[in-house]
Amino acid sequence: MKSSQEWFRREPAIIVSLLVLSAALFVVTYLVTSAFHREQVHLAGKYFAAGQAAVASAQPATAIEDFHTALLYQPGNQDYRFKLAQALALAGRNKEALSHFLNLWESEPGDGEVNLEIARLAMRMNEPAEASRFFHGAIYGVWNDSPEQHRLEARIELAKFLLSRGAFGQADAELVALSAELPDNTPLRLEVGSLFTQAGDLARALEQFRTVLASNRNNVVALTGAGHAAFELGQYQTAASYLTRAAGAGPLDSSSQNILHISQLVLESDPFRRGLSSNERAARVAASFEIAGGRMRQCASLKDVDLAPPAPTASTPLARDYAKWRELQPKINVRDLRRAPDFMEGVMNLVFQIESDTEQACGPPAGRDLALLLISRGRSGAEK
Amino acid sequence: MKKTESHVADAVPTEPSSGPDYTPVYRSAFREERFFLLLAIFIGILSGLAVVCFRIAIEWSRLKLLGPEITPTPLRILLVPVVVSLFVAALVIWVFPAVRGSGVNQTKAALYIYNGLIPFRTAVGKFITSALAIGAGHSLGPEDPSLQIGAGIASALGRRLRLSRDKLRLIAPVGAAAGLAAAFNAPISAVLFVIEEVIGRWSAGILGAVVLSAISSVVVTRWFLGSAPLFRIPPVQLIRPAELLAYAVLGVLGGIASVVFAKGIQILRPKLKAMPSWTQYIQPAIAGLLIGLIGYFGAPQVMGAGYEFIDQAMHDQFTWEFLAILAGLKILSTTLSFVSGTPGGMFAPTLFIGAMLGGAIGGAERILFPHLTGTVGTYALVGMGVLFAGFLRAPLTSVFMVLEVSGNYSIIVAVIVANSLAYLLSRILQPVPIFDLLSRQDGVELPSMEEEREAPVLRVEDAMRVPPVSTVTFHDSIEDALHAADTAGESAILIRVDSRSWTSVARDRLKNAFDSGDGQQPVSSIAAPDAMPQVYPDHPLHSALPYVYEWPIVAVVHRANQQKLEGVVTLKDVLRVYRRAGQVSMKHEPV
Repeated sequence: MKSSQEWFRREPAIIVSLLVLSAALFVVTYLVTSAFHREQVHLAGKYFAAGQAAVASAQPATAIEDFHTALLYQPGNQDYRFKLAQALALAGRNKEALSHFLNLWESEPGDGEVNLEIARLAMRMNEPAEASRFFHGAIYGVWNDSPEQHRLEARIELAKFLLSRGAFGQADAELVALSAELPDNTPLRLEVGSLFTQAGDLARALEQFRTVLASNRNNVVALTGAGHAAFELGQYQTAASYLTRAAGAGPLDSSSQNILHISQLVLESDPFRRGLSSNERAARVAASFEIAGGRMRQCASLKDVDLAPPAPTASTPLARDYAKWRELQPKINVRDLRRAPDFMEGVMNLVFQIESDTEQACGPPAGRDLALLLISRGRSGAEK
Repeated sequence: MKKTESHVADAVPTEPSSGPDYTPVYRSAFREERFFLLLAIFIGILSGLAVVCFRIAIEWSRLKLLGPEITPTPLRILLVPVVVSLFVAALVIWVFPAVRGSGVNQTKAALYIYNGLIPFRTAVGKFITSALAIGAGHSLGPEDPSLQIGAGIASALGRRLRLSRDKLRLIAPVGAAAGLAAAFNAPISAVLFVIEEVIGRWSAGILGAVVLSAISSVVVTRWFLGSAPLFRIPPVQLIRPAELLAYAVLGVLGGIASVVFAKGIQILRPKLKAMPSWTQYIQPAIAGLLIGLIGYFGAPQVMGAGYEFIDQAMHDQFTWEFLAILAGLKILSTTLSFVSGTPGGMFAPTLFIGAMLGGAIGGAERILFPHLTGTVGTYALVGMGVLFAGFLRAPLTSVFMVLEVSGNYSIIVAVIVANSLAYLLSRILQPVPIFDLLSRQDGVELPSMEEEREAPVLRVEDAMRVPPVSTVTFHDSIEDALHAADTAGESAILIRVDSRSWTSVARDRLKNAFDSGDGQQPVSSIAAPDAMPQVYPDHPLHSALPYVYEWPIVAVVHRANQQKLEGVVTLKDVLRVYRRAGQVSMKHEPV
């Protein structure tokens, strides 16, 4: 056994030696790891670029393999993993893609882009609740560049998704929030207006189209959109005005043409329009009366209903309407109608009743009958 | 030269510094304890640096040998394992004969047989041969070699610094923990494994050193390689307790898979060792060829450690059917690599098999029971723990490893349930754990940590008898003492020295003194003057052995009241208990 003095001399020397040895080996290890790390970065970059090229040339399978290889050398690289997940989604490998996206989400739950991709995957995998959740994550998340633009686009995508699932109320709520932040961007407003129309919020749709028209009077899309919205809202004058302007800028599609035509018929047929003379009003009432009668006879013929006197039992609404119509017919002339505004009201009520009953019995009317039906609906809505 | 001796036995001390001429430097116990702790930190640092270089070496090997793509070209898959294996076999036979095997048993042998010796050359050889073998595609892992490399560095340092024999024995496991912690990037699991499987006991001194070395090695590793885990864990959670049944199924099937894996090694390894010695040059190459063929025909994922594929499995990249196939092929390929004598470890393959099996079972269960909420990643994670518990038979380590790797405690109950079932099933169907199996096949008798864990703990109270009715004091006469002994029917009598201490004297001595006419003398004239130490009922039985040799009858007193006599114990009582516990004869399972 050596003396105790031996260790007293040795211990500090041992510690210093170990420190020096550790430092030297640290340097060696640093050199080794640095060299390997450089090689890893080089390989990762090379395969990542190859993967991106494969994605660009629509070869997702090759891209997946390349991105996997890139991740082999830089497993912590979030951008590589994101691209891998996107390539997997592109290849239809949704579960694998979702797994990688969720991994990214775990480390950055506020990342807008990741949330959006997960939402899209959830849509594809038919998980609406998850899709909605992650869409909101994207809308309120963090975006590195153009955050406002991305949030708008995410909200629009969410609205479209909700509309596709028939969730019109939710879609409308999203669109209302969206419209509050809309920039002065015509295509965006037109798109939002169209989405409002699909969601059934016609007033807001019309508002969007009007906003566009305020800066661009001849925008055909806005004009036709506004025309459609106004027509659905029962604003036939407005609808006709917009669609006429649209027609002036270029040929209308068949739907718009039809709406324009119907709007014009409504305007021509409506006896309750402001600014009409009593003569004109009476003439319209008389014309409407005849039109309704014709519609009734046509519908009765179609349904093989006997409308002939002397005294039908009037068991069907059609027969009852016809009985009343025949009773009034001798009194329908412009002079008598002009003198009795209350009588005109009564005649029009019968006309509206006839149009409603014939719609139920024989299906939707067309032409002037449709115009009369729309006028009656407008009247009943106004009365409510 | 025949090279058929066991791998562990090849590590016979050849350096004079470890033999009878080894002269440790004197240090007082206190100083040496402190120095040992300080040394543990340096061992951790050096082992960490070595393991970092080792992991880089494996990656470089793979890169240069198999190419940079995640899936190598067919030509490389077939040729590289064969060619490299021939080179590795030659190195092992001619230069580094002690590097065969995983490294765990070699470290245990150093602790229990060779006074802490692991030749530094073995550590170097393990570094080179394992890096080449794993990089070339053999289905082996880097953790076990890292364990041995760390142990080798520690052993070399301990011998150089001339530690006492006690500390020299313990230093190898300290280095082993450092190496394993660096390889796994999981210090707690490494510490638990070394204590559970290598050292087998918990004491404050060794635990402190092991923890220090593990932590310092992990710090070094993370400095260079970052703190990212070996594979990314997807979000895991256990939502409904009823789903524990699904994990229980995984535990049962994992236990069966563990037994199949162990049985394969148990059967094949002796057969290959018994073949002519020249075949050892080509056994690794044949194993490499077979593994290459497996890779060529559609499963290159089984080549190498496979961590990148564990990552993919956890992220739903494979169907459950393919995961099941991979699990089976990995069992086969790892068995081939290991039994052929290729240097490398079994930890990584065990995790791979567990992850694939877990993913397969999880995927299949989700088809049968769509309401199950656990993801494939969750099942894969639990599966890793299951195989660790069932095959490596380290139940405590398996639970903590899963928790440490995932950082998620919500699945701890599922992990415990599954791991326990796998461990129990494996214990029933394969009574001898894999490491004990390997050492016995090598003809080396190392203590079985599992058997030691399960051995009954014998205490003094197991041997204790009811105290005699009569005792005497120091001042009583010899005649009175003899009478008391005869009344009690004992071969010795207890003598109260004072209120809290006792001594004893044999009846024969009393009789001799009485017959000599000294009957009226106080009994203190013939009794031993020193009182016996306090012995309590909860003391380990072996601690009473010195006293029952010294005194013919030993008093067992109450802990809260040392004046109260709880019982007595003699040598005969102690031996009776040991005999009954069956600790005299040891039985082994045939290997």
